[in-house]
Amino acid sequence: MKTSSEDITQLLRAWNAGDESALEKVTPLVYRELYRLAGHYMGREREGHTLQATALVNEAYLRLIEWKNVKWQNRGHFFGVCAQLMRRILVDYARSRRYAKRGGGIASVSLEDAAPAAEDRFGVLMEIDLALQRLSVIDARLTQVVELRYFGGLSVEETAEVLKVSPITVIRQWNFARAWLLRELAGTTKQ
Amino acid sequence: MTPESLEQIEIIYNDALALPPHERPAFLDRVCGNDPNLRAEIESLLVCEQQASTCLDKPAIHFVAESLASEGAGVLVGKMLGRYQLLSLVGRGGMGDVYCAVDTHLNRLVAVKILPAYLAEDPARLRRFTEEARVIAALNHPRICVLHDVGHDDGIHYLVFEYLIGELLSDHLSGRSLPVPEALKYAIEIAEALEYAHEQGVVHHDLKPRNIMLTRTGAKLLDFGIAELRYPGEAGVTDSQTRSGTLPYMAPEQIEGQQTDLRTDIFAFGVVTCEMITGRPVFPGLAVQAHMVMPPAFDVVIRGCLARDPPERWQSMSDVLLILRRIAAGI
Repeated sequence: MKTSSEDITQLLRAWNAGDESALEKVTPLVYRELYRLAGHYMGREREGHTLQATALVNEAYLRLIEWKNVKWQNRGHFFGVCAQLMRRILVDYARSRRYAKRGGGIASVSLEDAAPAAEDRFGVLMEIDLALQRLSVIDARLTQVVELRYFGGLSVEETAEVLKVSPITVIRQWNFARAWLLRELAGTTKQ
Repeated sequence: MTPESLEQIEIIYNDALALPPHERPAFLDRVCGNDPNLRAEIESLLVCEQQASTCLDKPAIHFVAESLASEGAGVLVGKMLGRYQLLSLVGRGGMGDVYCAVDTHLNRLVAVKILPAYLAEDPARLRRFTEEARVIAALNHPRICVLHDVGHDDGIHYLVFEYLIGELLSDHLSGRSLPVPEALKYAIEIAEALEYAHEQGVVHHDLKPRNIMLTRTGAKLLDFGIAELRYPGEAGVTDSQTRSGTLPYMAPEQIEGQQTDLRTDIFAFGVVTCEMITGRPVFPGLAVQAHMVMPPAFDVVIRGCLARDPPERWQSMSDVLLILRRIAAGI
Protein backbone atom coordinates (compact mmCIF):
# COMPACT_ATOMS: atom_id res chain seq x y z
CA MET A 1 0.00 0.00 0.00
CA LYS A 2 1.38 3.36 -0.96
CA THR A 3 0.42 6.18 1.24
CA SER A 4 2.67 9.13 1.50
CA SER A 5 3.50 10.72 4.77
CA GLU A 6 1.64 13.84 3.75
CA ASP A 7 -1.45 11.79 3.07
CA ILE A 8 -1.29 10.18 6.48
CA THR A 9 -0.63 13.43 8.22
CA GLN A 10 -3.52 14.99 6.39
CA LEU A 11 -5.72 12.04 7.11
CA LEU A 12 -4.98 12.23 10.77
CA ARG A 13 -5.49 15.96 10.86
CA ALA A 14 -8.72 15.62 8.97
CA TRP A 15 -9.93 12.96 11.32
CA ASN A 16 -8.99 15.05 14.27
CA ALA A 17 -11.07 17.82 12.76
CA GLY A 18 -14.08 15.57 12.48
CA ASP A 19 -13.63 14.00 9.03
CA GLU A 20 -14.64 10.36 9.36
CA SER A 21 -13.05 9.25 6.10
CA ALA A 22 -9.68 8.95 7.83
CA LEU A 23 -11.21 6.30 10.00
CA GLU A 24 -12.30 4.33 6.98
CA LYS A 25 -8.84 4.41 5.51
CA VAL A 26 -6.96 3.38 8.59
CA THR A 27 -9.43 0.76 9.79
CA PRO A 28 -8.38 -1.97 7.32
CA LEU A 29 -4.79 -1.64 8.50
CA VAL A 30 -5.80 -2.12 12.06
CA TYR A 31 -7.98 -5.07 11.12
CA ARG A 32 -5.13 -6.71 9.26
CA GLU A 33 -2.98 -6.43 12.33
CA LEU A 34 -5.81 -7.63 14.50
CA TYR A 35 -6.30 -10.80 12.47
CA ARG A 36 -2.57 -11.42 12.35
CA LEU A 37 -2.47 -11.30 16.14
CA ALA A 38 -5.60 -13.43 16.43
CA GLY A 39 -3.89 -15.97 14.21
CA HIS A 40 -0.99 -15.98 16.57
CA TYR A 41 -3.22 -16.55 19.56
CA MET A 42 -4.92 -19.39 17.76
CA GLY A 43 -1.52 -20.99 17.38
CA ARG A 44 -1.48 -20.63 13.62
CA GLU A 45 1.65 -18.59 13.38
CA ARG A 46 5.01 -20.24 13.36
CA GLU A 47 7.57 -19.38 15.95
CA GLY A 48 9.72 -16.50 14.99
CA HIS A 49 6.86 -14.08 14.77
CA THR A 50 7.37 -13.20 18.34
CA LEU A 51 4.52 -11.49 19.97
CA GLN A 52 5.50 -8.50 21.95
CA ALA A 53 3.52 -5.70 23.38
CA THR A 54 5.00 -3.58 20.64
CA ALA A 55 3.89 -0.13 19.82
CA LEU A 56 1.05 -0.72 17.50
CA VAL A 57 1.38 2.77 16.23
CA ASN A 58 4.74 1.74 14.92
CA GLU A 59 3.46 -1.48 13.47
CA ALA A 60 0.29 -0.39 11.83
CA TYR A 61 0.88 3.20 10.91
CA LEU A 62 4.55 3.77 10.56
CA ARG A 63 4.78 0.82 8.27
CA LEU A 64 2.86 2.97 5.84
CA ILE A 65 4.73 6.16 6.00
CA GLU A 66 8.34 6.86 5.42
CA TRP A 67 8.80 7.42 9.08
CA LYS A 68 12.50 8.08 8.94
CA ASN A 69 12.15 10.72 6.28
CA VAL A 70 9.59 12.65 8.17
CA LYS A 71 10.36 15.22 10.74
CA TRP A 72 7.19 15.55 12.68
CA GLN A 73 6.54 18.99 13.91
CA ASN A 74 4.56 17.61 16.72
CA ARG A 75 5.35 13.99 17.30
CA GLY A 76 3.37 13.85 20.50
CA HIS A 77 0.30 15.11 18.77
CA PHE A 78 0.69 12.56 16.02
CA PHE A 79 0.91 9.67 18.47
CA GLY A 80 -1.95 11.03 20.47
CA VAL A 81 -4.21 11.12 17.43
CA CYS A 82 -3.12 7.63 16.38
CA ALA A 83 -3.96 6.25 19.80
CA GLN A 84 -7.38 7.91 19.74
CA LEU A 85 -8.01 6.50 16.30
CA MET A 86 -7.00 3.09 17.53
CA ARG A 87 -9.30 3.38 20.48
CA ARG A 88 -12.21 4.29 18.27
CA ILE A 89 -11.56 1.48 15.77
CA LEU A 90 -11.11 -1.23 18.39
CA VAL A 91 -14.10 -0.21 20.45
CA ASP A 92 -16.27 -0.01 17.34
CA TYR A 93 -15.01 -3.39 16.30
CA ALA A 94 -15.79 -4.92 19.68
CA ARG A 95 -19.26 -3.41 19.56
CA SER A 96 -20.07 -4.69 16.09
CA ARG A 97 -18.69 -8.10 16.96
CA ARG A 98 -20.89 -8.26 19.97
CA TYR A 99 -24.03 -7.34 18.07
CA ALA A 100 -23.18 -9.74 15.28
CA LYS A 101 -22.89 -12.54 17.78
CA ARG A 102 -26.21 -11.75 19.31
CA GLY A 103 -28.17 -11.27 16.14
CA GLY A 104 -26.33 -13.54 13.79
CA GLY A 105 -27.49 -17.13 13.85
CA ILE A 106 -24.33 -19.11 13.59
CA ALA A 107 -25.51 -22.68 13.65
CA SER A 108 -23.01 -24.81 15.40
CA VAL A 109 -23.27 -28.04 17.25
CA SER A 110 -21.89 -27.27 20.64
CA LEU A 111 -19.49 -30.01 21.55
CA GLU A 112 -18.53 -28.24 24.70
CA ASP A 113 -18.95 -25.05 26.59
CA ALA A 114 -20.27 -22.38 24.33
CA ALA A 115 -18.03 -19.37 24.42
CA PRO A 116 -19.63 -16.66 26.47
CA ALA A 117 -16.10 -15.69 27.37
CA ALA A 118 -15.43 -14.09 24.01
CA GLU A 119 -18.60 -12.07 24.01
CA ASP A 120 -17.91 -10.88 27.50
CA ARG A 121 -14.43 -9.83 26.48
CA PHE A 122 -15.74 -7.63 23.70
CA GLY A 123 -18.11 -6.19 26.25
CA VAL A 124 -15.20 -5.58 28.58
CA LEU A 125 -13.48 -3.43 25.98
CA MET A 126 -16.62 -1.32 25.69
CA GLU A 127 -16.70 -0.98 29.46
CA ILE A 128 -13.09 0.12 29.46
CA ASP A 129 -13.93 2.78 26.90
CA LEU A 130 -16.83 4.04 29.00
CA ALA A 131 -14.73 4.06 32.16
CA LEU A 132 -12.08 6.01 30.30
CA GLN A 133 -14.69 8.56 29.28
CA ARG A 134 -15.54 8.99 32.94
CA LEU A 135 -11.87 9.33 33.80
CA SER A 136 -11.39 11.99 31.14
CA VAL A 137 -13.95 14.17 32.87
CA ILE A 138 -11.85 14.29 36.02
CA ASP A 139 -8.31 13.93 34.69
CA ALA A 140 -7.22 14.44 31.11
CA ARG A 141 -3.58 13.53 31.60
CA LEU A 142 -4.36 10.09 33.02
CA THR A 143 -6.69 9.50 30.11
CA GLN A 144 -3.90 10.37 27.72
CA VAL A 145 -1.52 7.92 29.35
CA VAL A 146 -4.10 5.16 29.07
CA GLU A 147 -4.83 6.00 25.44
CA LEU A 148 -1.17 5.95 24.49
CA ARG A 149 -0.27 2.86 26.50
CA TYR A 150 -3.39 0.75 26.18
CA PHE A 151 -4.87 1.74 22.85
CA GLY A 152 -1.76 3.02 21.14
CA GLY A 153 0.38 0.22 22.53
CA LEU A 154 3.26 2.54 23.35
CA SER A 155 5.89 1.49 25.86
CA VAL A 156 6.56 3.46 29.02
CA GLU A 157 9.56 5.13 27.42
CA GLU A 158 7.68 6.03 24.25
CA THR A 159 4.79 7.40 26.25
CA ALA A 160 7.20 9.44 28.32
CA GLU A 161 8.76 10.84 25.18
CA VAL A 162 5.42 11.76 23.68
CA LEU A 163 4.15 13.41 26.83
CA LYS A 164 7.50 14.98 27.62
CA VAL A 165 7.58 13.63 31.15
CA SER A 166 9.87 11.15 32.89
CA PRO A 167 9.28 7.39 32.57
CA ILE A 168 8.76 7.24 36.33
CA THR A 169 5.89 9.68 35.99
CA VAL A 170 4.36 7.57 33.26
CA ILE A 171 4.67 4.44 35.40
CA ARG A 172 3.02 6.15 38.36
CA GLN A 173 0.23 7.59 36.27
CA TRP A 174 -0.33 4.29 34.48
CA ASN A 175 -0.37 2.31 37.75
CA PHE A 176 -2.92 4.63 39.16
CA ALA A 177 -5.10 4.88 36.06
CA ARG A 178 -5.02 1.12 35.71
CA ALA A 179 -6.19 0.52 39.27
CA TRP A 180 -8.81 3.24 38.86
CA LEU A 181 -10.17 1.65 35.69
CA LEU A 182 -10.14 -1.85 37.18
CA ARG A 183 -12.14 -0.57 40.10
CA GLU A 184 -14.63 1.03 37.73
CA LEU A 185 -14.92 -2.22 35.80
CA ALA A 186 -15.45 -4.23 38.97
CA GLY A 187 -18.19 -1.79 39.90
CA THR A 188 -20.03 -2.15 36.61
CA THR A 189 -19.84 -5.91 36.41
CA LYS A 190 -21.00 -6.53 39.96
CA GLN A 191 -24.24 -4.69 39.52
CA MET B 1 -13.86 14.80 42.70
CA THR B 2 -11.47 17.55 41.78
CA PRO B 3 -8.33 16.97 39.73
CA GLU B 4 -6.30 18.17 42.74
CA SER B 5 -7.69 15.53 45.06
CA LEU B 6 -7.24 12.91 42.37
CA GLU B 7 -3.59 13.87 42.08
CA GLN B 8 -3.22 13.60 45.81
CA ILE B 9 -4.76 10.14 45.75
CA GLU B 10 -2.46 9.19 42.89
CA ILE B 11 0.61 10.16 44.90
CA ILE B 12 -0.43 8.31 48.04
CA TYR B 13 -1.51 5.31 46.00
CA ASN B 14 1.84 5.02 44.27
CA ASP B 15 3.78 5.51 47.48
CA ALA B 16 1.73 2.75 49.10
CA LEU B 17 2.20 0.54 46.08
CA ALA B 18 5.96 0.88 46.35
CA LEU B 19 5.84 -0.62 49.84
CA PRO B 20 5.62 -4.33 50.64
CA PRO B 21 1.93 -5.15 51.33
CA HIS B 22 2.45 -5.68 55.06
CA GLU B 23 3.82 -2.18 55.50
CA ARG B 24 0.94 -0.49 53.71
CA PRO B 25 -1.56 -0.32 56.59
CA ALA B 26 0.90 1.53 58.84
CA PHE B 27 1.76 3.87 56.00
CA LEU B 28 -1.90 4.61 55.35
CA ASP B 29 -2.47 5.17 59.08
CA ARG B 30 0.19 7.82 58.93
CA VAL B 31 -0.77 9.51 55.69
CA CYS B 32 -4.54 9.34 55.76
CA GLY B 33 -4.77 9.81 59.52
CA ASN B 34 -8.12 11.41 60.09
CA ASP B 35 -9.57 10.97 56.62
CA PRO B 36 -11.36 7.61 56.43
CA ASN B 37 -12.70 8.39 52.93
CA LEU B 38 -9.25 8.93 51.56
CA ARG B 39 -8.04 5.73 53.11
CA ALA B 40 -10.97 3.72 51.77
CA GLU B 41 -10.31 5.20 48.34
CA ILE B 42 -6.66 4.14 48.37
CA GLU B 43 -7.43 0.71 49.76
CA SER B 44 -10.06 0.02 47.13
CA LEU B 45 -7.50 0.85 44.45
CA LEU B 46 -4.84 -1.35 46.01
CA VAL B 47 -7.24 -4.27 46.01
CA CYS B 48 -7.74 -3.88 42.25
CA GLU B 49 -4.03 -3.78 41.71
CA GLN B 50 -3.61 -7.23 43.27
CA GLN B 51 -5.53 -9.03 40.55
CA ALA B 52 -3.15 -11.47 38.93
CA SER B 53 -4.18 -10.85 35.37
CA THR B 54 -6.42 -8.18 34.01
CA CYS B 55 -7.82 -6.92 30.77
CA LEU B 56 -5.36 -4.02 30.88
CA ASP B 57 -2.17 -6.07 30.94
CA LYS B 58 -1.63 -5.99 27.20
CA PRO B 59 -2.47 -3.37 24.61
CA ALA B 60 -6.11 -3.33 23.59
CA ILE B 61 -5.47 -4.84 20.18
CA HIS B 62 -4.02 -7.95 21.83
CA PHE B 63 -7.03 -8.15 24.06
CA VAL B 64 -9.37 -8.02 21.04
CA ALA B 65 -7.20 -10.46 19.07
CA GLU B 66 -7.29 -12.94 21.95
CA SER B 67 -11.04 -12.58 22.13
CA LEU B 68 -11.29 -13.34 18.44
CA ALA B 69 -8.99 -16.30 18.83
CA SER B 70 -10.93 -17.70 21.77
CA GLU B 71 -14.13 -17.29 19.80
CA GLY B 72 -12.67 -19.42 17.04
CA ALA B 73 -13.81 -18.56 13.59
CA GLY B 74 -13.70 -21.92 11.89
CA VAL B 75 -10.93 -20.56 9.76
CA LEU B 76 -9.19 -23.89 9.41
CA VAL B 77 -11.82 -25.51 7.17
CA GLY B 78 -10.10 -27.19 4.23
CA LYS B 79 -6.72 -27.26 5.91
CA MET B 80 -4.57 -30.39 6.15
CA LEU B 81 -3.22 -31.10 9.61
CA GLY B 82 -0.90 -34.05 9.34
CA ARG B 83 -2.95 -36.66 7.56
CA TYR B 84 -6.27 -35.12 8.56
CA GLN B 85 -8.21 -32.83 6.30
CA LEU B 86 -10.58 -30.55 8.17
CA LEU B 87 -14.05 -30.53 6.65
CA SER B 88 -16.27 -28.43 8.86
CA LEU B 89 -16.44 -26.76 12.21
CA VAL B 90 -18.76 -28.76 14.43
CA GLY B 91 -18.12 -27.23 17.82
CA ARG B 92 -16.41 -24.35 19.43
CA GLY B 93 -15.67 -23.51 22.97
CA GLY B 94 -13.25 -22.30 25.52
CA MET B 95 -11.05 -25.29 25.05
CA GLY B 96 -10.67 -24.98 21.31
CA ASP B 97 -12.55 -25.64 18.12
CA VAL B 98 -13.66 -29.09 17.08
CA TYR B 99 -13.68 -29.98 13.41
CA CYS B 100 -15.14 -32.88 11.56
CA ALA B 101 -12.23 -34.17 9.50
CA VAL B 102 -11.28 -37.03 7.28
CA ASP B 103 -8.35 -39.27 8.06
CA THR B 104 -6.82 -39.47 4.60
CA HIS B 105 -4.85 -42.63 5.42
CA LEU B 106 -7.71 -44.69 6.73
CA ASN B 107 -10.41 -42.79 4.87
CA ARG B 108 -12.72 -42.39 7.82
CA LEU B 109 -14.28 -39.47 9.64
CA VAL B 110 -12.68 -38.25 12.83
CA ALA B 111 -13.19 -35.32 15.18
CA VAL B 112 -10.15 -33.05 15.40
CA LYS B 113 -9.91 -30.83 18.42
CA ILE B 114 -7.56 -27.88 18.10
CA LEU B 115 -5.65 -27.07 21.24
CA PRO B 116 -5.60 -23.40 22.14
CA ALA B 117 -2.40 -21.43 21.66
CA TYR B 118 -1.88 -20.72 25.35
CA LEU B 119 -1.38 -24.43 25.81
CA ALA B 120 0.89 -24.86 22.82
CA GLU B 121 3.04 -22.07 24.18
CA ASP B 122 3.57 -23.72 27.56
CA PRO B 123 6.11 -26.55 27.07
CA ALA B 124 5.68 -28.00 30.57
CA ARG B 125 1.93 -28.22 30.25
CA LEU B 126 2.18 -29.54 26.75
CA ARG B 127 4.52 -32.32 27.85
CA ARG B 128 2.27 -33.22 30.76
CA PHE B 129 -0.64 -33.31 28.41
CA THR B 130 1.12 -35.49 25.87
CA GLU B 131 1.97 -38.00 28.59
CA GLU B 132 -1.61 -38.00 29.75
CA ALA B 133 -2.85 -38.38 26.18
CA ARG B 134 -0.96 -41.67 25.93
CA VAL B 135 -2.83 -42.99 28.95
CA ILE B 136 -6.16 -41.79 27.58
CA ALA B 137 -5.44 -43.26 24.16
CA ALA B 138 -5.03 -46.63 25.84
CA LEU B 139 -8.64 -46.53 27.06
CA ASN B 140 -10.63 -48.95 25.01
CA HIS B 141 -14.26 -49.14 25.97
CA PRO B 142 -17.50 -48.91 23.97
CA ARG B 143 -18.74 -46.13 26.28
CA ILE B 144 -15.69 -43.91 25.92
CA CYS B 145 -14.95 -41.77 22.89
CA VAL B 146 -11.65 -43.07 21.54
CA LEU B 147 -8.63 -40.81 21.32
CA HIS B 148 -6.92 -41.88 18.10
CA ASP B 149 -4.03 -39.52 17.80
CA VAL B 150 -2.22 -36.47 19.10
CA GLY B 151 -0.17 -34.33 16.78
CA HIS B 152 1.08 -30.98 15.73
CA ASP B 153 1.52 -29.44 12.34
CA ASP B 154 2.07 -25.91 11.14
CA GLY B 155 2.26 -24.70 14.71
CA ILE B 156 -1.11 -26.20 15.63
CA HIS B 157 -1.47 -28.85 18.30
CA TYR B 158 -4.47 -31.11 17.97
CA LEU B 159 -6.21 -34.20 19.26
CA VAL B 160 -7.96 -36.70 17.02
CA PHE B 161 -11.02 -38.42 18.41
CA GLU B 162 -13.49 -40.98 17.19
CA TYR B 163 -16.23 -39.18 15.26
CA LEU B 164 -19.55 -39.57 17.02
CA ILE B 165 -22.99 -38.78 15.76
CA GLY B 166 -25.51 -38.01 18.43
CA GLU B 167 -26.80 -35.47 20.87
CA LEU B 168 -25.09 -34.13 23.94
CA LEU B 169 -26.80 -35.00 27.19
CA SER B 170 -26.81 -31.28 28.02
CA ASP B 171 -28.83 -30.53 24.86
CA HIS B 172 -31.06 -33.53 25.47
CA LEU B 173 -31.82 -32.35 28.99
CA SER B 174 -31.91 -28.57 28.52
CA GLY B 175 -33.54 -28.07 31.90
CA ARG B 176 -35.97 -30.98 31.74
CA SER B 177 -35.86 -34.27 33.58
CA LEU B 178 -35.83 -37.63 31.84
CA PRO B 179 -38.25 -40.50 32.39
CA VAL B 180 -36.79 -42.70 35.09
CA PRO B 181 -36.08 -45.75 32.87
CA GLU B 182 -34.20 -43.57 30.37
CA ALA B 183 -32.21 -41.81 33.10
CA LEU B 184 -31.38 -45.15 34.64
CA LYS B 185 -30.19 -46.55 31.32
CA TYR B 186 -27.83 -43.63 30.75
CA ALA B 187 -26.66 -43.64 34.36
CA ILE B 188 -25.68 -47.29 34.02
CA GLU B 189 -23.86 -46.64 30.77
CA ILE B 190 -21.95 -43.69 32.21
CA ALA B 191 -21.12 -45.71 35.31
CA GLU B 192 -19.78 -48.54 33.14
CA ALA B 193 -17.44 -46.14 31.37
CA LEU B 194 -16.22 -44.66 34.65
CA GLU B 195 -15.79 -48.05 36.26
CA TYR B 196 -13.59 -49.14 33.37
CA ALA B 197 -11.53 -45.93 33.31
CA HIS B 198 -11.02 -46.03 37.06
CA GLU B 199 -9.79 -49.60 36.79
CA GLN B 200 -7.20 -48.29 34.31
CA GLY B 201 -6.24 -45.57 36.76
CA VAL B 202 -7.77 -42.73 34.75
CA VAL B 203 -10.00 -40.13 36.38
CA HIS B 204 -12.21 -37.98 34.14
CA HIS B 205 -12.10 -34.82 36.29
CA ASP B 206 -14.73 -32.98 34.29
CA LEU B 207 -17.75 -35.23 34.00
CA LYS B 208 -20.81 -33.18 33.03
CA PRO B 209 -23.73 -33.40 30.58
CA ARG B 210 -21.70 -31.49 27.97
CA ASN B 211 -19.14 -34.27 28.02
CA ILE B 212 -21.65 -37.05 27.51
CA MET B 213 -22.78 -37.84 23.98
CA LEU B 214 -25.95 -39.85 23.45
CA THR B 215 -25.42 -41.97 20.36
CA ARG B 216 -27.50 -44.60 18.66
CA THR B 217 -25.69 -47.20 20.74
CA GLY B 218 -26.04 -45.34 24.03
CA ALA B 219 -24.06 -42.85 26.10
CA LYS B 220 -20.39 -42.19 25.44
CA LEU B 221 -18.03 -40.09 27.52
CA LEU B 222 -15.96 -37.37 25.86
CA ASP B 223 -12.87 -35.48 26.90
CA PHE B 224 -11.44 -37.94 29.37
CA GLY B 225 -8.78 -36.45 31.60
CA ILE B 226 -8.28 -33.33 29.58
CA ALA B 227 -10.15 -31.00 31.89
CA GLU B 228 -6.91 -29.37 32.85
CA LEU B 229 -6.44 -28.05 29.35
CA ARG B 230 -9.16 -25.54 29.89
CA TYR B 231 -8.14 -21.94 29.71
CA PRO B 232 -7.05 -20.89 33.19
CA GLY B 233 -9.87 -19.22 35.01
CA GLU B 234 -12.39 -19.85 32.29
CA ALA B 235 -15.72 -21.58 32.77
CA GLY B 236 -14.62 -23.21 35.94
CA VAL B 237 -12.44 -22.98 38.92
CA THR B 238 -8.74 -23.55 38.64
CA ASP B 239 -6.67 -24.76 41.52
CA SER B 240 -3.00 -24.42 42.18
CA GLN B 241 -2.19 -27.36 39.93
CA THR B 242 -4.19 -25.76 37.13
CA ARG B 243 -6.59 -28.63 37.28
CA SER B 244 -10.09 -27.47 36.64
CA GLY B 245 -13.60 -28.66 36.27
CA THR B 246 -16.98 -27.09 35.81
CA LEU B 247 -19.33 -25.89 38.47
CA PRO B 248 -21.66 -27.29 39.70
CA TYR B 249 -20.25 -30.69 38.79
CA MET B 250 -17.01 -30.20 40.70
CA ALA B 251 -16.54 -32.05 43.94
CA PRO B 252 -15.75 -29.99 47.05
CA GLU B 253 -12.16 -31.22 47.12
CA GLN B 254 -11.75 -30.11 43.50
CA ILE B 255 -13.09 -26.66 44.24
CA GLU B 256 -10.82 -26.35 47.22
CA GLY B 257 -7.77 -27.45 45.27
CA GLN B 258 -7.30 -30.57 47.40
CA GLN B 259 -6.16 -33.95 46.23
CA THR B 260 -8.63 -35.49 43.79
CA ASP B 261 -9.17 -39.11 42.88
CA LEU B 262 -11.79 -41.38 41.39
CA ARG B 263 -14.21 -40.30 44.09
CA THR B 264 -14.15 -36.86 42.49
CA ASP B 265 -15.77 -38.47 39.45
CA ILE B 266 -18.23 -40.26 41.70
CA PHE B 267 -19.37 -36.90 43.02
CA ALA B 268 -19.81 -35.54 39.49
CA PHE B 269 -21.66 -38.69 38.53
CA GLY B 270 -24.07 -38.03 41.39
CA VAL B 271 -24.70 -34.49 40.17
CA VAL B 272 -25.28 -35.62 36.58
CA THR B 273 -27.61 -38.42 37.64
CA CYS B 274 -29.51 -36.04 39.88
CA GLU B 275 -29.85 -33.68 36.92
CA MET B 276 -31.22 -36.44 34.69
CA ILE B 277 -33.81 -37.43 37.28
CA THR B 278 -34.85 -34.02 38.56
CA GLY B 279 -33.97 -31.72 35.67
CA ARG B 280 -31.45 -29.74 37.65
CA PRO B 281 -28.04 -30.34 39.15
CA VAL B 282 -27.38 -30.00 42.85
CA PHE B 283 -24.81 -27.48 43.84
CA PRO B 284 -21.77 -28.79 45.68
CA GLY B 285 -21.88 -28.22 49.39
CA LEU B 286 -25.65 -28.04 49.45
CA ALA B 287 -27.69 -31.00 50.52
CA VAL B 288 -30.03 -32.49 47.97
CA GLN B 289 -32.90 -30.08 48.21
CA ALA B 290 -36.19 -31.24 49.62
CA HIS B 291 -38.08 -30.22 46.49
CA MET B 292 -35.97 -32.55 44.39
CA VAL B 293 -38.27 -35.50 44.43
CA MET B 294 -36.52 -38.70 43.53
CA PRO B 295 -37.53 -42.31 43.57
CA PRO B 296 -36.26 -43.59 46.96
CA ALA B 297 -33.80 -46.04 45.42
CA PHE B 298 -32.16 -43.27 43.41
CA ASP B 299 -32.11 -41.07 46.45
CA VAL B 300 -29.79 -43.54 48.18
CA VAL B 301 -27.47 -43.79 45.19
CA ILE B 302 -27.25 -40.06 44.62
CA ARG B 303 -26.80 -39.08 48.25
CA GLY B 304 -24.04 -41.65 48.46
CA CYS B 305 -22.28 -39.91 45.58
CA LEU B 306 -22.74 -36.40 46.87
CA ALA B 307 -21.30 -36.65 50.36
CA ARG B 308 -19.04 -33.74 51.04
CA ASP B 309 -16.07 -35.81 52.17
CA PRO B 310 -14.71 -38.43 49.79
CA PRO B 311 -14.53 -41.16 52.49
CA GLU B 312 -18.28 -40.71 53.06
CA ARG B 313 -19.10 -41.40 49.41
CA TRP B 314 -19.44 -44.63 47.53
CA GLN B 315 -15.86 -45.76 47.18
CA SER B 316 -16.01 -47.22 43.71
CA MET B 317 -18.11 -47.03 40.59
CA SER B 318 -18.50 -50.82 40.82
CA ASP B 319 -20.57 -50.33 43.97
CA VAL B 320 -22.67 -47.67 42.30
CA LEU B 321 -23.14 -49.82 39.24
CA LEU B 322 -24.25 -52.75 41.37
CA ILE B 323 -27.03 -50.74 42.97
CA LEU B 324 -28.10 -49.17 39.68
CA ARG B 325 -28.39 -52.59 38.08
CA ARG B 326 -30.41 -53.78 41.03
CA ILE B 327 -32.77 -50.85 40.61
CA ALA B 328 -33.02 -51.59 36.91
CA ALA B 329 -33.90 -55.20 37.63
CA GLY B 330 -36.65 -54.07 39.95
CA ILE B 331 -38.32 -51.68 37.53
